[in-house]
Amino acid sequence: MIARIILLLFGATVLIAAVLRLRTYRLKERHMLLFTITGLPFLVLAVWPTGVGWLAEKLRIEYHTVSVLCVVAFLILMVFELLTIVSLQDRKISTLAQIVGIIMEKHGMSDRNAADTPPGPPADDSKS
Amino acid sequence: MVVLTPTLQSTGLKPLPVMRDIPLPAGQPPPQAPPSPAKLKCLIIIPAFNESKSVGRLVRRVNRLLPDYDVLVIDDGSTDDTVRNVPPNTRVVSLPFNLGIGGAMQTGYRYAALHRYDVAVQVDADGQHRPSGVRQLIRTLQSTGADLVVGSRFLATSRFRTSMPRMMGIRLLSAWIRLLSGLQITDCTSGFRAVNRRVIRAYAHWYPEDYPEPEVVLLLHRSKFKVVEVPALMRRRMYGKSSISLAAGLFYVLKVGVCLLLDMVRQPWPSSKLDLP
Repeated sequence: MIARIILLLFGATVLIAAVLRLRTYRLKERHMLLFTITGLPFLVLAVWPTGVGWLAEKLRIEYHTVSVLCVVAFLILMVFELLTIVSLQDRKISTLAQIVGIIMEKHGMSDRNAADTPPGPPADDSKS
Repeated sequence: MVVLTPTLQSTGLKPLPVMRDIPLPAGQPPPQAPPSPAKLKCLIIIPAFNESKSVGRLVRRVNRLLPDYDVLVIDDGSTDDTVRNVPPNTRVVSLPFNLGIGGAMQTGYRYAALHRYDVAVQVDADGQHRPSGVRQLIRTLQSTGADLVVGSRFLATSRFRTSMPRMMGIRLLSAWIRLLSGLQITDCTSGFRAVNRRVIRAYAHWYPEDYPEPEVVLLLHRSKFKVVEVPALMRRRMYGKSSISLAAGLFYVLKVGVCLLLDMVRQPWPSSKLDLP
């Protein structure tokens, strides 16, 4: 019973945190889905605590192994989703930087023309 | 000059019709000869990252040998005096931070597409590529109807020898590209290359960021663009030395190999969406 309450509390907390961030515009709707999915497995386990045992029996794998596999699969999905978001953002930032550079050239605002160029962010040597 | 026509049986592709093979309708005047390289609106793109010692000399050499072409230096977030060493009256795009060779080159292609250049030529800022070879790239682009012309160091007879590990790496990647697509190429990593307006538009839309040279060769071939290779003399870097060690080179080949494999499932330039001519 205590485990059930803990799981319910955790799932609810994640959900409320996500809704609050959505309300304050710190989280986009599409990313909100990620947090909803994060809370969902805990909700299922709270309603059906023997679910992992049932899965272990069906797959004929040790109970603990199934638990670890579930957690790993869940984390991989999370990382995959986050990397997709990062890749998209990276592309957009690159495009913006390119357009900024071209516009600055058009208006004669390249670093060469600046009397005192402010230091930019450190170069990422791994890229060149 | 080597025309890279893949084995059609290996690719399963039908041969593309060439303009001269299509009979002209009666009464239509014959097509005009392509403009000479001097009449083309051509942009020479020089990506530079911390090349303060060589970039000025290279740009002056390009201006002297190719006065009818425009030069664009892309400063890829250099932390040294690269930009200040570019001769005056040269177009310079200063990127706010380092984007890597792919991002820098795409900036040049975006610029070329925006200003409607007919041809864009990539010349590396380290001084390895000879500006005197640019005209041959452009002539080949015109005479063969190719979309991409790559200058190959292995087709030219030169005293300058590439180091053995680097040569082995390039050979391995070229063999991998041939195995994957049937395209025969000797120098897939060469940065000395010219493209026509069609490819400029495609590159402005999308260009690989990490290992662009070998990747675009494979992707262009898969998208049915014509790739041609010509001999190109290269020399040692003007200053400094290559940062690629043996271990890094092996890792590079491995990474590019995997990326090339993944490129087999990508189609970055769908002609229907891009409205390419």
